[in-house]
Amino acid sequence: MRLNFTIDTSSEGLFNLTRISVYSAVLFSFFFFFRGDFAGWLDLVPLSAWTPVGVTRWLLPLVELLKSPSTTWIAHVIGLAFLISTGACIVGWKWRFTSMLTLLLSLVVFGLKNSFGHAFRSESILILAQFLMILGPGRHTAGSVLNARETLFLLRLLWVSMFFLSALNKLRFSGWDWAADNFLQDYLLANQITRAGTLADRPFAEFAHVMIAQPIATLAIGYFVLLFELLYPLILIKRLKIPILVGTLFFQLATFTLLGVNFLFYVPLLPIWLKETPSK
Amino acid sequence: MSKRGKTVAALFFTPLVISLIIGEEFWPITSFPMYSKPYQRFVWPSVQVRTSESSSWTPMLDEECYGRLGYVRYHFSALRFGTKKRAGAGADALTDLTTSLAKEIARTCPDRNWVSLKVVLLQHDVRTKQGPTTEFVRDLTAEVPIAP
Repeated sequence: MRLNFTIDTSSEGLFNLTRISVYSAVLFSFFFFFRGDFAGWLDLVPLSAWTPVGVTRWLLPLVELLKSPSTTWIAHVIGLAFLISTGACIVGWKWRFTSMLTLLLSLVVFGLKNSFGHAFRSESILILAQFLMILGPGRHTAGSVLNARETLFLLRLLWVSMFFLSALNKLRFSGWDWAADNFLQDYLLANQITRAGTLADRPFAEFAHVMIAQPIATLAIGYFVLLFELLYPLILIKRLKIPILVGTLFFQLATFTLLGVNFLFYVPLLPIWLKETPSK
Repeated sequence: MSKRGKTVAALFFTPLVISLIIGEEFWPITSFPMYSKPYQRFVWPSVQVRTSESSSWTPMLDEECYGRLGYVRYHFSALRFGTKKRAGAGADALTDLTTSLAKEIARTCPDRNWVSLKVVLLQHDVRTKQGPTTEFVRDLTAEVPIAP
């Protein structure tokens, strides 16, 4: 079925829409984080800022290679290849090859960014989504590992996991004390000190001060956050999808306003929640 | 879902679950849920600067300059969100950061009249939740001059 404004809501149509949306966001994030110049960014960061974890410790030789003045051209090639490949993914050109290349380059580019300080991984969902999307169909369904319907379902599970695993992680490390200890009040307080410069001009910047002064409110919100994340899999129940999506929007806007943490990189995946209709 | 789909799901979600179980981050982009470790509430870094006209320290709340110091923001967050070991590395990590920061400010924001800076770890005493204040700071680094 096609809506009047030509959104194809079949599984294939929604997958294509998600593909365009996600890879456009990947491209955007390249400009957002690196201002489109990966080599220039890499040149700016000092090697002393390299603080890898886990498997990224093995990337040190690559980092040293890329930061060497005599091999700067490699970083330029990586940046250029990333731009071309991601652009190709948006239009679906040579999907099988370009999607894998974009994933590989995303791992290098964003993996290095996160290991230089290991922070602000709100873009993670875009990288993780690529692991699933490369298995989905391109313009032609033949030869793909997953069909569009399965890919969309796994993307929904990914979305759910971002919230649900966060809740399990809070419980794993802090137990219910994460809420009961009024951690949120501490978090808001510390954020006001350490990020004052970046939060100052945000809308409702002063609202955090009001919240900090109301320990009952922060305590209640702490419990709400933990329960909201813990119960997030309920979004897979058809009747609860819209209320939970609306709650998610509110949740993320509140996080952005109070903590300055940006979760806009979830938005490109919204097409996965549109209602699927049978293919023609 | 097909058997192939189930296999993909198992392969895809296993690293995320392992990350959760072992409690360590083995690949930065798959370790998203690690923001909520309890020690976050205790250690927070803050850059403080001083001008030649003033003997007192003030937090560096210069968004324009701060925004340009991209890597510093990342490194900051390593201290805030990083592993306990790295956050606890304290003196070494902060000395490195402070020295790099001083050089970078001199290069990136030469028009500022700051002459020196220090990085302070805010040691939050959870018993005193009184509002935004720095009364419980713990100074871990020495003053570093910003080259003219």
